[in-house]
Amino acid sequence: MISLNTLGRRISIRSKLAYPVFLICVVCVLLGTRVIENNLNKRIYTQQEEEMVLFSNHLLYTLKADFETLFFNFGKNAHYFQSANTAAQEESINRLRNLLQSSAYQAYIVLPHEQEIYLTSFEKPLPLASRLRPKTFQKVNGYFAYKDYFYPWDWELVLLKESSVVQQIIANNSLLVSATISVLMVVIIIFLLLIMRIVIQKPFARLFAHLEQLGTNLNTPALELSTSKETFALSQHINAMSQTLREKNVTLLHQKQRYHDILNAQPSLVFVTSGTDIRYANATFFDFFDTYATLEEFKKEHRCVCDFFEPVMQNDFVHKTENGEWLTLVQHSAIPKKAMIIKNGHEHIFTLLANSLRGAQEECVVTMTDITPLEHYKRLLEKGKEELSRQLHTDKLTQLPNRLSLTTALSIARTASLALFNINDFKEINDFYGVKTGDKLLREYGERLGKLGKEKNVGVFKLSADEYALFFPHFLDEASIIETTMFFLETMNQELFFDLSTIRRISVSTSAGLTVNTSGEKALVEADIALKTAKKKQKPLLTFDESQETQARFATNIEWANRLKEAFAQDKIVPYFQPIFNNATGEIEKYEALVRMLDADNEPIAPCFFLDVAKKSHQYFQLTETMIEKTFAFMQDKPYDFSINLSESDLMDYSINSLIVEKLKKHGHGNRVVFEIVETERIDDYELVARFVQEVKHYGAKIAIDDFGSGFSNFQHVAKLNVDYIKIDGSLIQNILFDANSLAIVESIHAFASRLGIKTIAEYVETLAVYEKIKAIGIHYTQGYFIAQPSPDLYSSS
Amino acid sequence: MRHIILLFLCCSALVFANPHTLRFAPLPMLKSEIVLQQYVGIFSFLSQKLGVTFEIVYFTDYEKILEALAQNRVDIAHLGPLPYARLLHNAIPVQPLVQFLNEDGKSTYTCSLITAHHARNLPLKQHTIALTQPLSTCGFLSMSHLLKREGIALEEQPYFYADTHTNVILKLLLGEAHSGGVKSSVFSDYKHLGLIERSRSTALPGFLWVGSAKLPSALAKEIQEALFSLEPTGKDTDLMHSWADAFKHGAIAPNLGEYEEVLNLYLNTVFP
Repeated sequence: MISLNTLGRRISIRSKLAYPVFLICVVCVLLGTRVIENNLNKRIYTQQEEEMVLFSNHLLYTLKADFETLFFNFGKNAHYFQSANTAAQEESINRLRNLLQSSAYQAYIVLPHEQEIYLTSFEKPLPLASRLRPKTFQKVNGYFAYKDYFYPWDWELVLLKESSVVQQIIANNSLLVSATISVLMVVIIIFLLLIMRIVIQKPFARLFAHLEQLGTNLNTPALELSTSKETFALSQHINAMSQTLREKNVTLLHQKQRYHDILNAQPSLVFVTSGTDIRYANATFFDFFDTYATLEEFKKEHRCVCDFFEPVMQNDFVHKTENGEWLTLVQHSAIPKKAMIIKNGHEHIFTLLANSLRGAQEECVVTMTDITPLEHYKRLLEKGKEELSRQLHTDKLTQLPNRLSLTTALSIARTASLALFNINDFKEINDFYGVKTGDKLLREYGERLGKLGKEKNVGVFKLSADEYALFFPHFLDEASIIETTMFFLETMNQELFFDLSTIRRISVSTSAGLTVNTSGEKALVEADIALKTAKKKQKPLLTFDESQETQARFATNIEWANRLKEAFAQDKIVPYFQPIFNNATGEIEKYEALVRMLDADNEPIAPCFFLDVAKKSHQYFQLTETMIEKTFAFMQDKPYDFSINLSESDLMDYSINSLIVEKLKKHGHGNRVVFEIVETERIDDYELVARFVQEVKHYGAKIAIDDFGSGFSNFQHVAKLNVDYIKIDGSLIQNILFDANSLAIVESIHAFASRLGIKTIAEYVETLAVYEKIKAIGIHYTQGYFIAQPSPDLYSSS
Repeated sequence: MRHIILLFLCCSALVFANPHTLRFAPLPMLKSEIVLQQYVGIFSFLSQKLGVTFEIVYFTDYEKILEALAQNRVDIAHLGPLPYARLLHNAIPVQPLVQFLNEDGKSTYTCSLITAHHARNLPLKQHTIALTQPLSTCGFLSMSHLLKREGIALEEQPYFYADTHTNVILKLLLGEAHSGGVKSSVFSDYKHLGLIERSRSTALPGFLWVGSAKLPSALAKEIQEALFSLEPTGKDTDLMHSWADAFKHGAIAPNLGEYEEVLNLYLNTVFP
């Protein structure tokens, strides 16, 4: 069977060729007609010429015959010849006249001395014989003429024929040709029409009838056309297509039933509507609108489902509209719209989704899902949330805003003044009177303080245990604040509190620390320092100043130094290991050892709390030594590379250097060790670093520059140091998605490192987005919480 | 070839007395219908004189006559000088019998190159030439020499054979040829029709009778003697008055030297 493509191509080519071919045929016929006419005319002329020449020769032969007779009879006799000659000429002229009488020609003879003898009569003026070319067929003065000589008598014989006669023949001939061609063309056209009727019209009429039948009945018997290869192929294709259609129709019917079942199984009301008319509805629809069994019944009373929508004055609710506007709202709303229907006295809330039907833009499939229970739960949830929020920000005992509320208020305050009130010796009161009385005291204290706050328009907060805060959110002069605070303090000190079980008065005094017109961030710390100072100095109220802070920090350092010392003593300085992930292989390849101090509960404390203190308290090298010892010991039998952080001061320390060399020798796998030299501070002595690098590389160890890009990065020195890794500073990585400068710096560092053959490591990678970004840049390794947080043990490699 | 045999009985009595019959080939350029008219007088005389009869074997061209003579299919042939020169050239054994005289009493004649009146102004180079026959002495042989004198090569001109001298004249008059070659005596007969003689050949030996090799020499001699004895202006004037022009002026013994000149002329001519 000819393929549809071939068939289409053939028909296309033929149809494209039909017009040019037809035009060419017409042109050919016209040209052919002209050619035939010209040829026939030429032949007529030739024939006329031949006939004329023949007739002229015939006349000349007659003359020759007469002359021969004369010659043989009287040729020798000069005496008789002249008279016989004259007689013979006359006789010949008569003979010629007789011959011409029965012909279509006219003729005259020109005798010597230009005398003319007319052999026939003439109506038109004659052409002059002297102007005629001899033995040439020519047209002159409306005649066809032919001139020849008869030498014996020196005659010019001019034979003539009126050209109009020939023209008439030619005209008749042209007419005949045109008529013949026309008849021929008519016959051909009739023949072609017949052919078209047989080959095209009839089969196509059958074809269209078949297609029309197919439109109503797919089981129409197969079409058979055999007038041509193409129509046969076309009928075969149509039969094949109708067969396919039948099969698809069956499939579609099954699918339709399936979709119908699916739609009916939906718990939602699903219907097709134009907004003002419903075209389809599923079974759930009629379950809900149970007073109607069919769509027709529904439509008898309602054009639109929106007839049932209650007017709810909320933006996300739609209600009844006249011209289907509700559907437009549902379609184009970013947030799902809702509608309320009251049935049997009960409110039903639905969410509405509308999707345009493909190919029918004015129709939408609307899904109405009953979310009444959900709405109920949502309302409950909102109430719970509000309560939870309130509880979160409220002290349960006193019902005053708690510390969280205060820090929130401080975070948004440009300037703030804050006073912290602390009930003196509350622990003793609590121990003495019991928790219940203690709680009652705290509650009553809070209530009275709160009451005062309302009166003075000062925010009152309940902090931890026996601590309260007065918050002055607006800028006030220091004197006014101190005065107000003193008022609060004195008032509260004068308040009476009782233990109801013993009916005894409880003596309550308050100490207060105040900070005035400071930043929101610092207010709490400063007020706390002032409070502690006041308590220490047994003053009722002290206002914060700088000296108090210095003293407080010193105290903190002393504390951390003691804690560090204690940790060393209790072996609570330990390495935690954070994996470093190879972006290319997708596997953990190495670990960085990070120092941690364990608290009393063995919870890890980050080095930011104790590292500076360690340096100041001359415990830093001990810290480094401990990390080297423990890390080498831990990683001894682990199949991973590991890195240890070193500062420039570590490198300058002889004992640290010796320890490193000893460990490298002992460990035997120096190539697994990476020393990360911190770059956050300026490296003053690059030669020292270079010597160290040279020494450890002797054992196969590698070098990484840590926190590269943090401020003192020096590409030139890095290039000289022959380092293996550059660890890009975490602050750059954290901002890479939001800060174009950070991105540019990271890209530059990576490009620089790549040119030197140095691998790059991105740290502080905490999200997938950052990971994908640094991977896209081409950075080789990833470290950060996105991969894993530091842990006392190792993760599996994948 | 037209081959007409005429049996002429001159005297039935003599025929019965001497039954010898001579096969005679007349001139081929004569029209068959006038052959009898041409030869009746001389044959009658010889029959009476010698007691022989003549059977005319007519050929339309000289080639056939020469072939018949060589093969002894004719006994006597009437030939022009060129055909006789051809016999000499081919060394065919024949017996020259008599050479006939013209009205001037001479045994020679000339040929003329003539032009029709209508072609008088046409350059000779453009002329179509009408000739008698290929072996006619006034035909290609004479005309090629006459035209050569005017710087024209006949073989390069258009020419055709008109068969007889009168036909050549007629062709010129009818305009079918511009020039032609004929015996000067014939030209003279038709000169009044406007023909122009351009040139004339030198004298050529006249026509003669030639006997075949098998013709009995005695009979040949008898014929010679009979014809030599005639006196056209004397005692036989009345007898010969009605004879054809070719014979009525008497005959002499052939001058064979003259024919050798014709042979030389023939040999110097390039025939196509």
